[in-house]
Amino acid sequence: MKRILLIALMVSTPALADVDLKFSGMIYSDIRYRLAGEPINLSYPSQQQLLGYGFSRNDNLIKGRLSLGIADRVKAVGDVDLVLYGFSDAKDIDALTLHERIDPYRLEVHAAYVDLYRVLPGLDLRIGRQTVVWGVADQFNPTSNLNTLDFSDPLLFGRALANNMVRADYNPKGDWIFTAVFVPIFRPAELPRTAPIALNSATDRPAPVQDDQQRLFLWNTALSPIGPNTVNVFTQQPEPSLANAQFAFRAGGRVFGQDVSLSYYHGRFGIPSPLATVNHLDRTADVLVGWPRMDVLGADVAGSITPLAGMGYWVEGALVFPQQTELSVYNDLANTSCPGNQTPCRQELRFDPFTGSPVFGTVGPNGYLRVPDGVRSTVIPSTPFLKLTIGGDMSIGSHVYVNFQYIHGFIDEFGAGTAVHPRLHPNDPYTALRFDGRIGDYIVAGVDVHLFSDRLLGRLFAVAKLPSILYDTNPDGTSNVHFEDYKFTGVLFPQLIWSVWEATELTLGAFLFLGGRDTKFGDPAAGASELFLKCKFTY
Amino acid sequence: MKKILLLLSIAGAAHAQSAGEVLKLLDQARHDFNDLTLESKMTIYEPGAATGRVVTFTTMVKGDKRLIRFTGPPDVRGMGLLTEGRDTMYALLPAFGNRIRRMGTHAKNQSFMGSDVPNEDLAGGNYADAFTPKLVGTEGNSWVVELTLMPGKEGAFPKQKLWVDKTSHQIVKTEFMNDKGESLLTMTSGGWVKDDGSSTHWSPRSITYVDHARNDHKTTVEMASVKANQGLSDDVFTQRGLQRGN
Repeated sequence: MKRILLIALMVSTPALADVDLKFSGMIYSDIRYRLAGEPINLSYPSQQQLLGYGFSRNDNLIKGRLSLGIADRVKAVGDVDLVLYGFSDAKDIDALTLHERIDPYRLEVHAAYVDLYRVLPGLDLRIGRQTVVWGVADQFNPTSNLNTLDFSDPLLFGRALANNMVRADYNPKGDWIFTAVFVPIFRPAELPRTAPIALNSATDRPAPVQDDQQRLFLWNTALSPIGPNTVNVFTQQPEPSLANAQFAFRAGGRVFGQDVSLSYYHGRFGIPSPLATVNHLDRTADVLVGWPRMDVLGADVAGSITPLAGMGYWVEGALVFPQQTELSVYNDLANTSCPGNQTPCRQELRFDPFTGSPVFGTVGPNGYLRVPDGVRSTVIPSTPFLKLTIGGDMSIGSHVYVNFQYIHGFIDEFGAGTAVHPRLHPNDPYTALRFDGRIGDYIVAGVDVHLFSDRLLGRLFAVAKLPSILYDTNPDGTSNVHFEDYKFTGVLFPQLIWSVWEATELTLGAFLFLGGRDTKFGDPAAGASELFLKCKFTY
Repeated sequence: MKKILLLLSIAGAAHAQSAGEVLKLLDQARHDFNDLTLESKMTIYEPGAATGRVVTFTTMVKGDKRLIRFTGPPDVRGMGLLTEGRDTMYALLPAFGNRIRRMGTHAKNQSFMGSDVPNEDLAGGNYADAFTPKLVGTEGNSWVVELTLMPGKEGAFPKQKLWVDKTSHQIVKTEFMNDKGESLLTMTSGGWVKDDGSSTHWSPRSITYVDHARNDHKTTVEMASVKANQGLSDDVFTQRGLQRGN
């Protein structure tokens, strides 16, 4: 009996030679100083206030990554960051007795998955928390939508947020790969800590509705003596139903030496849009935001152009079919104004589709008392729109690398139509507002200079917004084409990266937002310029 | 009769007179295996320094495909390169979610990890497909061949001078030159032995690169082990293979 058990054990336990265990990680510090920003109070940790001038980040990070593979058939990977904020949250005496309030931290799990290789001939499965990055462009990938983005660090230009997924890759021959991914639960994008600025004030920027007349009416109401002083923003998260799951397919391979792929994604955009506003009698407003659905058809091609000294090129495009998103606007009514003593009640505002005039209905405690004879304001039209990245890279000599991309549709842009910006002068109600195309055009370019056998890297990246072409449709069906009211805006991102010794790196740099307050990168909701010092040790 | 033919072919190989014949022997010898796996340690020295920065990697070769996987130091561990011939190169980027990035062939102009090893030295492919040879003589037990890059072909060094060993038919020394014939980089190799698993393929146990344009900056590559004909599957040399191995 003992012999049988021993033989069974030997058969079932993989030989030590078949087990591949790797443990690696990083210890990292990131200190940043904010310049010329608009102050914003953060709720947590309370000591981390974003001052006009002040330290905005004081992170320490310990990363641990464990990879365990068995006999080239199975691999399990875990990747966790322990991030210490470096600021306290000691708002009261009780907090002073709690270590987690004196030294707040968070855990970020970037991977927790199991790979199963060759489950069937050519078929691999990956199940668990993972990131799936599609596309051939650098960082700006309109076809990569399975993971929403983490916008909390502008230096990363949107890092994919890991999510629980089931992924199947079928590789029948060569480099042809067919991929299917299922994501049961939607994870929203993580917004920058300055993002609430965009929604917390009703008077700093108009509601992002598309109709000019409707927008003006809502704006004037917000600026009037009855407009809200305080705005609270709530979210309507998608329910964990099958209807709200996401899925995607991709087919990729090589044709005439060029890498090509086609993809389809069904899911939601990671940044929420306003769905409803309720204006209360005490001049507070509650805003409800939700995540719009979308279907995306993607295609990309990448390769090398030999006659141009081997320049690398890529083209990545996504045709997005969004769900139409409308804004419902309600105004609480005094009980004495409620018809038939049906209290509480509120007034719903819509607009006449022909004249643009406001029309009102009434909603009682049990539903509509009078349905307004009009349409709700459209925030995101169902018009399909294109996002595109075209780029290339080149080496000059052996020490200089140049990368350049044209981008139609930045990572946070969604929907056809008009984008609204905050006022140039926040305290002047008569400041003219600026609008431009919601899907903007940008040039992103960078240069790397490698010195001292790659020990020193000088890097400069820049983003510049280009003038957008706007199309206005006249009542008679003709169109006017004109450039937007253009104001320069962009980002400058210089860095000096010194590999002090093996696996050790010191980085000094700056991230500068350029442009007026009423421009995309000058908008205080996007963030403020920062200087930074980072130190990284990899093990 | 068979013996006479055999003797004639050996004699012919040792006394190949035309540059084309030498190049053909060289290309045959370089690819005289089904597959090859090398464990390498590269040390990059600053001019005058006694110690240098160490990078370790595993290289697998099959046909015109080559897969390089970095095993150290920690900041590059897990990165990989997959090349097919001279014109197709992919990089595996663990820091970007294990994304595979197609590289333009201009990347061959960049130095390999800050070393003096030209990226194109890592790519596969036959010399005869990219260079026009000229036999300039012999030196010791080596043929000396000058190569000129063919029009329309990409390469960081338009001219090269090779010393091809008459016994192993492998390169024991290379001078990498610009189009004016000025020597920019010199490669010398030593410790040639037959690989484990092969009776015909030779590999060096050490290679030294000296960059004359950088004040004789030096890189050495030592091969801890070279194994041939291990039965590597074609699956290994695909983009999926590049991702799986990390």
